[in-house]
Formats: sequence, C-alpha cells, structure tokens
Amino acid sequence: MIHLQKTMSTPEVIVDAASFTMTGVCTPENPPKFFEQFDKKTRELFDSKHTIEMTFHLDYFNTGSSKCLLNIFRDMAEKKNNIKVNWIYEKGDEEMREAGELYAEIAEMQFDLIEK
Amino acid sequence: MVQNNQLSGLLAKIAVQEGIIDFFIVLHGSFNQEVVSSSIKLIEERCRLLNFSTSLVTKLKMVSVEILQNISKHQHVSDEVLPYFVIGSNHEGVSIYSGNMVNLKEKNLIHDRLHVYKNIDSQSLKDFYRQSLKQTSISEEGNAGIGLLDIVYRSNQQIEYNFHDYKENQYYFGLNVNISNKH
Repeated sequence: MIHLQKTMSTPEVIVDAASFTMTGVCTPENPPKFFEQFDKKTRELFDSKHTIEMTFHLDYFNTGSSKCLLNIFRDMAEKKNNIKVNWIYEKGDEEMREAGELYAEIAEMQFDLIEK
Repeated sequence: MVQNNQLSGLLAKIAVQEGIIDFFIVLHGSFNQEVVSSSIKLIEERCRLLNFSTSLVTKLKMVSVEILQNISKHQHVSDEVLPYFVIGSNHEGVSIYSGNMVNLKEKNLIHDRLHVYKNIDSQSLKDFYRQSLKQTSISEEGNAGIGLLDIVYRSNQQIEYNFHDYKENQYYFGLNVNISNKH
C-alpha cells in the first residue's frame, strides 16, 4: 500500500490492493517526479482481475500534472474492464467538471462525474 | 518594464486605466515553489471573502499557478528588474498582471505562441487545446509546454502582452490576463 500525505502543492494519494484515491491540490514543480512515486503500484493495480475503483477529487492542478493524469487515464483505458472511475468536483465548479469530461473523452472511458 | 522602484507607479496606472477597485495580491521579487503555493492559498482565501463563484476561483488558481510557476522556473536573475505578479478585481472580473525577464529565444517562442492562441477563433482554440493535451509529451523537468495555451484557453483569449528591450539578449515580458465573472 502507498499513502502519500498531502502538502500545499501535492495531493493525498492512497493506492491499495483494490483502489486508487487522489485528493487535493496537484501542482508539484516537477510532476513526473511526483507521479513516479506511485506509478508502479498503480500499474500493478490495473492488472488486477478484480474490479478496481479510481477516485480523483482534485481542487485544481497545473498543466504538467494534467499530462501525468492523462498518462494514467490512457493506461487505464488500455485495460478497460473492471475499472470504475469517479471524478469528484465541488458544487458549481464547472472548470473541474469540464476537466473530468475532457479526460473521459480523450481516454475514451466512462467517468462518473460526481458533484459534492 | 518595471524597475524595482516603479511598482507603486504601475499599480496606480493599472488602477486608473482598468478601474481596479481592489488589489488582492502584489508580489515583487524572487519566486520559488513555496512562494507559488502560499500565493495561491492567499488568492483562494481572498476570493472566498469576495464571494467569487467556485468556477471563477478554480480558473483563477489554475491560471495563476501557470504564470507563477513559469516565472519561477524560467526567471533570470537581475538585481535591477525583478519579476512581479499582481491580481486586481473590478466589476467585470479579475485581472492578472505579471512581468519577468526573458531571453531572445524565449521571447520569440512566447510571441509566436501567444500570437496564434490569441488570434484564432474560439472553437479552433478549443480543438487545438484538446489536441495539444493529447499529443504533447512532458519533459523530465516537468514542462508540458502547454502552459501558455492553458492560460489563453481558460481566459477565453482575454490576454494582452508586450516585450520591452532591456539589455542584449534580455527582454521584459509583460502579460495581462483578464478572467470575466460572466462565465
């Protein structure tokens, strides 16, 4: 299991045997270096035979992180089956809702867009 | 261009020309990641006090972080002319003003990109944004190369920019981004 605590510029990330959760702000100065910390574990998760749940509840992110997120979504899309994606955004936050829609469209996957 | 002793003059000029009723962040000096993160926190708190919509606040934070990280990553140290970053609000929304030194190569790159992004029609910009997000790769240093595109896209092309010659191979890049509260 991986559990990264949130900081002022990075989100909390939890990866266990059946789920991935990313919560908070995602604006690290070097996004690939930050995402590298949980990349291997996340890919292992995609190979699971069981249903896995991917939850993203991001406040906002920078463009570097946007590319890294897209890489995750593309890898997910290759596996396709048994993956449920939750994209959570704050009530009235059209900017983050549109970001979820855009990722789903690019990755050609179904995202559950959840307003909280 | 803003010499170190001219920032107050710039603020007064902006206030009059743009009808700014409230400057809620003024940064002038050397920028790093800690300054970027603290500034975004400050922007968020100020926006909440002003009752801005959630979408406007998110948009402002995303545009601000791109501008601030661009300055932080690419800043050229000069004791005479330091970078600045200012946000002010008026009845139409929020305006961001920034200035920093760039070299000739950066100047040409910035100009070429902003000229295209600002002048194509909004649907073409949207399509180009999606294509760029799909196709560009990220460098080891974490540069996706789409920061300027993201800024123009999120501001609905409401940007102005200029360059002032400073010294050989040194130019001052001024950027003004307007985010409307109508959307």
